[in-house]
Amino acid sequence: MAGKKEKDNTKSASKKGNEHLVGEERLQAVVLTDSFETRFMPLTAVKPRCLLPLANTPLIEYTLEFLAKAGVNEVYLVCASHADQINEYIEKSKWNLPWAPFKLQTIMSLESRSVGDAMRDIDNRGLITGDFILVSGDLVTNMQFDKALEFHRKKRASDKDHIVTMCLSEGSQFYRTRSHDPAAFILDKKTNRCLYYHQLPPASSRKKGAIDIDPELLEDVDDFVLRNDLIDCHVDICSALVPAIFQENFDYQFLRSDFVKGVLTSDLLKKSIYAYIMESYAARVESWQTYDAISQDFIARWCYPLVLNANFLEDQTYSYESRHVYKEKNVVLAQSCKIGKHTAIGSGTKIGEGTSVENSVIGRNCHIGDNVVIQNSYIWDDTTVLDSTIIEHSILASNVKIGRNVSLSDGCVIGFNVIIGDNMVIPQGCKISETPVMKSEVQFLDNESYDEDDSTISSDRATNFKLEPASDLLGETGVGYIYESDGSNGDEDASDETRINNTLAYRIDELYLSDDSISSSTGERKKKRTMSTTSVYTDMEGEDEEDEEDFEVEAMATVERAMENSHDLDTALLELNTLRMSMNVTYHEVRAATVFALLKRVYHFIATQTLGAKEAISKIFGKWGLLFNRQAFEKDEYIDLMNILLEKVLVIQFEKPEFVLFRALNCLYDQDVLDEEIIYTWWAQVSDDAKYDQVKTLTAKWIEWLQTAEEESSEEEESGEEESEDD
Amino acid sequence: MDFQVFIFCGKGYNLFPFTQRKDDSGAPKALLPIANRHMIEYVLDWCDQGGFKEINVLGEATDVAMIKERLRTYINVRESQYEILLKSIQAHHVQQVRKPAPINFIVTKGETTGEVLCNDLRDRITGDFVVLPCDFITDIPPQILIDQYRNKDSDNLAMAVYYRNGFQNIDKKHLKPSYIVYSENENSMKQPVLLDMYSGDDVERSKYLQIRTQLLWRYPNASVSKKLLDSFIYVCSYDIIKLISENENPRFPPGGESEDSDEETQNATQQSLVIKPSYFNKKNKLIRDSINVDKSLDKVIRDLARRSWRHAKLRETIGLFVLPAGGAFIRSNSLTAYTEANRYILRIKSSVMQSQQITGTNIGADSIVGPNCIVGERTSVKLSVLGRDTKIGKRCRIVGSVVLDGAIIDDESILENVIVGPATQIGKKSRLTNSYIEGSYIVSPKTVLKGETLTHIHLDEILTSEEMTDSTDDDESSGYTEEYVDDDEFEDDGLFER
Repeated sequence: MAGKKEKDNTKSASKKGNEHLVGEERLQAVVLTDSFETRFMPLTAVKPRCLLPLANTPLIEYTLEFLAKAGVNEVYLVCASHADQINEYIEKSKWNLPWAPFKLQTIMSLESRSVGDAMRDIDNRGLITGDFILVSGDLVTNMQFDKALEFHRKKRASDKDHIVTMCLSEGSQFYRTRSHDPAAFILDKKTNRCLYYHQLPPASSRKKGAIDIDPELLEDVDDFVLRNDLIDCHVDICSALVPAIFQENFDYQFLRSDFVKGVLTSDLLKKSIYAYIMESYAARVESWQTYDAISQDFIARWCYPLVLNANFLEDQTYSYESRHVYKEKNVVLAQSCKIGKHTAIGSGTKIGEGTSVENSVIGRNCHIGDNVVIQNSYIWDDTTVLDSTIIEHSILASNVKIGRNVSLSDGCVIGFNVIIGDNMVIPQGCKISETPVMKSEVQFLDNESYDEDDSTISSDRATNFKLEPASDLLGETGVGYIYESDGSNGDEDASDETRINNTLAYRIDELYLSDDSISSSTGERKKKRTMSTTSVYTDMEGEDEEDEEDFEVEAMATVERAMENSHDLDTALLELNTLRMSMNVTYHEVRAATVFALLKRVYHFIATQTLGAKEAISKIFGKWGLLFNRQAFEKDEYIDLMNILLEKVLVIQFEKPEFVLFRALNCLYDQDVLDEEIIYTWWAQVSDDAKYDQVKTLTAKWIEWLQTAEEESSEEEESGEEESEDD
Repeated sequence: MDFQVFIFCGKGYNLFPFTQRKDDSGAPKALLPIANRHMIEYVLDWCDQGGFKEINVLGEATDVAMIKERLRTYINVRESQYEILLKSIQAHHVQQVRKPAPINFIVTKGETTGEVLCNDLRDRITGDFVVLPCDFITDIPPQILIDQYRNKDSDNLAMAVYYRNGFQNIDKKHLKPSYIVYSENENSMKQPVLLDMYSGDDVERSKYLQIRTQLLWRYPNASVSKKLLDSFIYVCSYDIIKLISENENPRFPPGGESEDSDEETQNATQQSLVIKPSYFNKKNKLIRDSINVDKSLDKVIRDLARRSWRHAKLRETIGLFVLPAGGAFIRSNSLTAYTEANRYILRIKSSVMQSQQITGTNIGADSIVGPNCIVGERTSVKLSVLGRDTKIGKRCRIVGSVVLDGAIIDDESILENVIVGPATQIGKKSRLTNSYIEGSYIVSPKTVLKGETLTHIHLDEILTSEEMTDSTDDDESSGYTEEYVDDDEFEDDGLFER
């Protein structure tokens, strides 16, 4: 609340100038050294992310270098995991020297489990006095911060509710440093005010959906842009209110998906967030791909003036040669070795005869044997690679020993101190650590593994087969354990994620943008907006959506129970009817629930292979289809029933929806629940939405057959009846 | 310019009660006068500026007959103008005089504009064509649109023209916002393209504006505007007709999407038989998708726009052109817009002509008085249109109003911002503000009205007219389909609703 008062003061022009001055005098920065994620496991089990070297320089250096250039006066390093290591590193670094550009203070926030926790901790400590920069400790950027700050102040002057300026870099939708957490920003076209934030499934994901924007958020905006081409590097200029907002909303965990989204959609808060869009290079090292991409960009001098030969560590001695080759002093290269483009080599490293290195970074004091091939790989300090080994798209941490004639393929991550024996072939995406890393040891969990069950299961699995060293993979002399990345259990999204995680090289995954994906996604949406074949029903939903939700669940349970215990029809009907009346819903809902329950049962039978598709449908619809006789009375209602059937068949995602629909209709027809005339009328007005096309194929044939059969029979019998048929 | 022009003349239910036709009282919308000229004449004038190949006026049988009848003088004048011009200049300049394009009147049977295009017009269209509404007035010459269209990308099927409302007096309520999703294609060579469209009502109803993630991956920098209004002007390539006609029976689209490659080859053979209208453009491989044309044209265009990004393979796009803000553009698709259109013409007139004083009365330069008009003593008329044969009594004050033909306004009445229907009688000392009075209505003396709409009540229409007043606000986008209950409105999207 103190912040609010301060803001009221800014109204008067004189004081505003005053505060402006104060703000400029003391620009604070909060660096979150922990990302609270596990993407760099198993390496981060030993070393914190921000101390992992990128192009032979610890990541934190890039962030601090940026802050120094931005003219920050005070930096708070929020440390959670491996805080001691960070503390130690900082104490020894140049930033701790008396002439360092800013005052640096490490904050031990050991209990923090998320960005939200860290922010609340900061609020508790009361460190923030004015606007501050919130960055993560893995940022690589050459942005001109003064412009962003100017933007922030200008917006602040025009909109006093402005609390955060997000600095976003313009890229393209498939930009490689954007591979994780792509998100769409909805911005006001004129002012760049952020209206909405939505995380998108990755382009390669099979889950397709839509962003739902509440029109209320757009009320006073005429033109806005939907940007999916922004690289969000989490550089935010925040007002002093931000930690307090985290404090008030103790459920906020993530900076973007909770905080930004929460602030934007909140009716009460009435705060605004702006986006500053810049063209400079900015990216976060947040995954293996971005590590690869940023390393390459950095080597290729995209980040100028932030380049390797600027030597921002005291003892670095890099010199720059053409074709983006960087070498430190005391590098020993054999006569016949080839150093290709985009390569950096640290001092004390020896490279043997006939070895070729390209697009790679090799740390200090490494020994690379003869005839080794190193491509697109990152080898950290003190590592030994013996002769004839091939390393592609891999990361070798410090002090690794690789034997002769070993082959490492795409996405291998070899942890600290691991030893790999001779003649070994390490498969794609394999991650090896020196000591077993168990899930339960993982201090900070990813959002996915938050729920208890998940982590315990995987830790069980870990104990099952991670305790023994992976000697068959690493050879007799090998030392190391296989690390299994989390989320490899089951569901599609996670496996997607791991698939991305497991490869080092960023590939533009084949876009999964086919047509059926739309329909499947709409199937999922279904639950929220049940059948809107006609407007009447839509309106009804609007009134009491909750009731209807309940009813659907209840009614389905009723039907399921009836089928399970093979009640008689009347009992089931009675129960349904009571439900219908007590919940005050229409027969439409009853039908929908019944159809859904029946189809689910069918699905269950098919899935468990108890019965074939045909038998299952005949059995279920043969017996329970008669329910509809008492759920539909008018012609319209039967047509509605068929529409529901059509919809639900899609929703349940049968393997062969067309067959299920056809059998179910046929079954109902045989039971005289549906007669031809109704079927024809339905067919004449059935939705011709493209997504139903496939589903309708068999039914189309069937109806055609019905029609011809009828014509024939009537022709045989009496020609006089033709008149009535013409209708 | 070898464009064919199709002018869709709708019923204009949004201009109720001046276009109501239950008892054949009103004229079709196209004949409603704006500053004493038929609305459609402005459109025809505009077309003449563009020098199109042929002009076709479309409408239902009775409407077309009536329009044809009423436009006879206009067409005669148009032709004789040409002849006079031809005679007056020397023979070697003749080639500079353009013969006016033939105006055809076509009776259509389709219930929606999309259907009309598909069924009634398919065989008539020989090349690129322009679709126009019958109700717009603009000072933007057609060349601008044509040039824009000529500059289009070769994979563009059609160009939809949008405008921003430049008239402040048009009621915000009548300009229903719709969410136009488009991409300016800033980072590529391409021209802006239309991506999607949601009517404000739909968004309101579903509580959400749904932007598909797929769209965002295709067009990562898309813009959405609530201020863009559909002009119902579409400059279309012949490809559109091919696309629509290939899917003969919209209800049972042949084949699924999965057979894309198959269809392509099929298409290629088909294409070799078709003569392409534009020679320097790259040929589009038209992939046959099911397109439901059984809805109004703007929705067909929207579906085509969606088609461009929905599929695994990118399809042809729909261009988007926003009329330059410098020009005026107005569509008389609501009553306030209609009044504003009248005033727009009046303002042009007043800037051109000097004020003429008629003895005893005071008629501003910003007003138009029709022939055979009788205006009584000490009556002042400002920013108003008086139709032919109107009689205005003494000491009346008429400000910002439109008085249609044959209306009689008795002494000492005060009308402000009123539209008076044809042959209406307004009694003495009435004070009417912001009101609409249907034709042949008799307003008793000393009536004081504010913001009312006076209509006749027919016994059999009581119900329907109630519905109609509701529905007039409903959908202004097409100007042609309003009279049909549009089921699509609710289904709208089809993608999300089921």
